[in-house]
Amino acid sequence: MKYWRWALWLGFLGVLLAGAVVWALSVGASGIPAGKVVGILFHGGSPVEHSIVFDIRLPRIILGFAIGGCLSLAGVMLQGLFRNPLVEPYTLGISGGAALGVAANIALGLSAIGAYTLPACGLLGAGGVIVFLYFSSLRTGLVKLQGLLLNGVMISFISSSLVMLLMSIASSDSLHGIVFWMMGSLGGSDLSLVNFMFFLALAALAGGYCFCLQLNALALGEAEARHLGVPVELVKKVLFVFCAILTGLCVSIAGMIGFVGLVVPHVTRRLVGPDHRILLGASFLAGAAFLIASDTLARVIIAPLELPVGVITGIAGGSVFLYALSRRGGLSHA
Amino acid sequence: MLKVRDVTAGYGTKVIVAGVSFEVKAGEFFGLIGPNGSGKTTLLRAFTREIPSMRGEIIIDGHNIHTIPLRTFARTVAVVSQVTPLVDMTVGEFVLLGRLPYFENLQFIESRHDRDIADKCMKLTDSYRFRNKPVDKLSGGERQLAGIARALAQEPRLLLLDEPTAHLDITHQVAIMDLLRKLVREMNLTVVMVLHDLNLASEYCDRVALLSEGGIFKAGTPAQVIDYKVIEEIYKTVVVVNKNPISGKPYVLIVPEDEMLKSRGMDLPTGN
Repeated sequence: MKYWRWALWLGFLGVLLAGAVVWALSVGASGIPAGKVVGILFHGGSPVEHSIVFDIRLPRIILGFAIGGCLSLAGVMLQGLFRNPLVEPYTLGISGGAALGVAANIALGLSAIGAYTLPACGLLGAGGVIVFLYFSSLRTGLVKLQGLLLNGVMISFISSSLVMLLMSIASSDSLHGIVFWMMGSLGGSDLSLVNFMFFLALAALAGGYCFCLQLNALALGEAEARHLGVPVELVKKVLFVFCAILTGLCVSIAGMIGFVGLVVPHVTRRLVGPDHRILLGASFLAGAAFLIASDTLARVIIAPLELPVGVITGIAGGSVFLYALSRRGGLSHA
Repeated sequence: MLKVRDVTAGYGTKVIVAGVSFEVKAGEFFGLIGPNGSGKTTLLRAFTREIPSMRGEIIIDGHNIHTIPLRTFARTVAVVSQVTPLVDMTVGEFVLLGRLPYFENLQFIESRHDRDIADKCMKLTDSYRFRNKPVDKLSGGERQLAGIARALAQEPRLLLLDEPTAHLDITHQVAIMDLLRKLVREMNLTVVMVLHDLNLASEYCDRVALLSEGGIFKAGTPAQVIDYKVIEEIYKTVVVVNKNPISGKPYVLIVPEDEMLKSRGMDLPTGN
């Protein structure tokens, strides 16, 4: 019975996520053991330990949960929408726009004004790209998905060139800020932003589920989906904007954390099957667990120094991807 | 069931079919035939709402199709394409997608009733035996059976098909056409089908419409339409039309050019 299989997958991924969370809570510079962390969580501990767990590690984990889940969710929905396993949130050029916004912010020194200016500039850039993509592919009233994809790739190139331009004229402090942001990080975010992202991620998951059956129908192709009563043009527009905003927010807050939106949905699809009713939830959980684990690895691998999490997701994600490709003989059936 | 009144349709501003009118009665097996580029598929796409009609009306059950909500439309009209899409879901899941127009808002899981109907449609189309196989691992014939099962799961009253037998051998062609005829007779389904194969059209269709250059050249029973003069004029090919000794329906034989010259040479010794 497929529902049992689905429940098992969700349970398994839930355990994986819980494991990642416990690991992330219990490793770090101060070395509080895992057993003690659970005690601190439920019964409290010394003020220092309490502060380490609740103010430093937990927000990072929550942000990892939200960003990993959202990127993976956006990836799986876009792959379903485009019926192309190589599409990911960053292919659409939205991250490029966000990067440009953030780089401009750092280069101009605007972040001195307040914690929110960085994500706000990122969102501004992402929003600009969304509006441009939306209207450039809407000339005939129909969203042409392949055109949208090509436009997105071109925008990515243009914006990364502009970011390099900014970097080449920026001061060395700004340059370091831009480079570090581009590599992605879950640390040092404002607490209210972390909370906001957490609830946004849950809302996005619920919102995504409103489209799971339409995405299943779209797997048959646009014409077939329409024959099944799916308002294809509307669904395409709504899903595109939905995923774009999600991506823009993630990138604005945590930087360019690559591969989560590409590899996690892809691997999950192979594991749980093509039905979006399980795929959305499973990808979300897997993305959250993957990013929390990657972030933890990034924190401990060369401790006390910290690697950018994008380095870990890229290396780990890319290796898993290559392995999956070599085992299953190509992308053709995905 | 289906009334087509003075319909003009095409892509963008390009007109492909113009001023087409005909009517299909409930429980009828209706064929659209004609040479390549005559507008058969375009006309069918106007019926499925894939393209808008620029002029005229397409009326199904007394309603102009463009006034019917998409989901209601999908409960009345189902479409089988030339090629069933290659997807990695199983046949069972694929057929269940046909129940989508019946899902309530925020209903994610199919009901017992939905599964029963999907099972029934798979049994009816002989696709139940490979219900656990992925659609992309099926043979061409099996895939079309699954495609028809999915369309039937929509419980439509009008089934629109675009050459569903185009890539199949005669065994599967006959199997699918026999199945469609059975459905028409037993479930009072109405079938409108684009067909290239004149002989299949002749054997199975109650009536056919022969399209030529975007308009209906002739409509009527196969015996009325499939006549060698008509076929030669529209297809610009020499043919022999004879009667199937068993069914009594007309069938079309082609004549290769050199054979034709030879035979003319014998009939007309003065020619070259």
